[in-house]
Amino acid sequence: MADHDRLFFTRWVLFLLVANEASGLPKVSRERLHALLFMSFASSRYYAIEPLRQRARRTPQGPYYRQAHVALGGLVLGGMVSVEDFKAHPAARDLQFEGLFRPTMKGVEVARVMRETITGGRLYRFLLDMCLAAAAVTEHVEVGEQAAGELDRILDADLTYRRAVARFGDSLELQDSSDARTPTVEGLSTIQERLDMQGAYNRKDVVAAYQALLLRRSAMVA
Amino acid sequence: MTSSDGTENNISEAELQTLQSVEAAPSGEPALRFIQRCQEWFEKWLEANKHPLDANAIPATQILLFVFSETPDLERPARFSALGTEYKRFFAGAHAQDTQGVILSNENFVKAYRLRTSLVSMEDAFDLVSSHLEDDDAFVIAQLSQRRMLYHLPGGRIDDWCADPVSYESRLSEDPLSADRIEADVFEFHENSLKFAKNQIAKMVWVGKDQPYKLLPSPEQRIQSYLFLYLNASYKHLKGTVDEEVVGKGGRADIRVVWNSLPGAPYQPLTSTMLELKVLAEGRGLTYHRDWVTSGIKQADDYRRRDSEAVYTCVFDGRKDQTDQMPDLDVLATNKNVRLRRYLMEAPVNSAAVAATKAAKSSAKQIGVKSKKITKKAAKKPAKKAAAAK
Repeated sequence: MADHDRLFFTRWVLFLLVANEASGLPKVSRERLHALLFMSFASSRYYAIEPLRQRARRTPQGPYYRQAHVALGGLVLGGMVSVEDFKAHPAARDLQFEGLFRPTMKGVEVARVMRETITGGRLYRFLLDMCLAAAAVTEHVEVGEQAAGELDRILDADLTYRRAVARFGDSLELQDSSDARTPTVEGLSTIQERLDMQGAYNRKDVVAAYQALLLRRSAMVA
Repeated sequence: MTSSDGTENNISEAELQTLQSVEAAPSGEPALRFIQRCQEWFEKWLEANKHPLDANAIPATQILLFVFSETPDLERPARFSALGTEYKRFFAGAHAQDTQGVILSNENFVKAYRLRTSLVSMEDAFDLVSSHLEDDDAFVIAQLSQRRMLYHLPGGRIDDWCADPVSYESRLSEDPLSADRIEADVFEFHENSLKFAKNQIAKMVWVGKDQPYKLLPSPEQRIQSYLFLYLNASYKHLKGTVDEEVVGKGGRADIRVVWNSLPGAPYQPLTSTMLELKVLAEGRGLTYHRDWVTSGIKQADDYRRRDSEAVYTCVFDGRKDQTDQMPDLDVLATNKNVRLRRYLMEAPVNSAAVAATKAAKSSAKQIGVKSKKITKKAAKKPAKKAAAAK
């Protein structure tokens, strides 16, 4: 993996954690971080942003990106992300750790600088929209833990993720090589077409409608 | 389509039906969205506390200061500790009758904290923002007994704002809407708030007398934010959104307003109006300005929805010389069925410098010297004097 790819991944992870904080969502667990990454990669083309081409590995705790673990470690060591409830995670192939992650003030300031570039600004806006949508969908829940539970259910019901887990294999693919669009992007576009007929909306409204729909689905399955 | 685990990969028609209740969230940049949240909160508080308000049971000292922080938990110790020493969660949904004090909040009010229980007076609130906040901060001061809400968006100088704060005038008319009415509102907004340098919002758009004819960065978005809040305050049933997709794209700033059509109206079930805003700034040539307005006309045309009663290109003219209004572009606009509207803006200028410039011009004419060099020098000297006197 080229150095600049590692850097892009680190930026993506930092922006995601800052966006999570700015949206008022609960602190991010390792499991949720990877699930959020999966959904962000699955939906980024809806914002005309190229996803980072990383395969997630299937683990009992959901998708796992080795590169996210490396990026997170770097951000923690660099003082840009704080970690609570740290514990080492037994894994056969990687040194992993569990915890609750949150940006520090330094992380927020570094992210602000990186948002000044055109690409950085677009990427952060997209991730913020995704997190704000999640906050809007779960805002009826007052208790942080319950909101976190609902968020996990939304991520678990993501259309691309469901398709990936339905396939047998060790890796969770975002899309077939022949696929132009992920099921998530297809779903978002379908919702947008419908919303366009009933008013003027922004993309984050479409993302929020998509997540609300996933939450309803997960409730029906449960 | 059903995947092998039994879940649908596509969204069903039944699921799409549930989208009818979807409402657009506050739009624009985070600080503008925060102000919209405050606006919503303020309206709901007024509604929830109508009886005590009518009975004059809300004391005049019940003052509220909302301050925007992207990440309150992290920024409070670093930036906002001077605003208060408490840190109690604030429940926006309660709309409690005795709500007051200083609230630090993120943009969607999920992380909102009370830093101070009360403020003594409006002066107290002004003193706090003037002493401890910066020009790039967004905040709201509400004097609830007076149904009065003042707001500050990032960029405008706080000292200027304190001298003449921008107020949110809640009108929420239920009258029937039309493109002409919206157009009249834009006209009124310009007449009352932006036309003259002394106007409230003009002070939040121009740099100031020290740098005449210079606008603050991103003037289109700046005007867009104030105009959007103004329109939002005007009508109860107006669904307005700032188009976030075009933010940062070549100075584009669009406002979309949509309303439910009355029975028999030509567009059903909704009618919309699109506003494309363009600012003409001093320092660019006529060709540039012509291209800028032309692009605005084309963008407004592209932006038309099937239910658009009208689309507008609103040109806010901040040039020093506003004599050439490019009347030929009206033909282009008419051909595209775009309503081209012009709004002149008077720039803040140092009156001493202007007087000196006029005097120098007149003297140059008398003695037959080229006026260009003399006016420049003459204009600089009084400006320096004025600056030294401050």
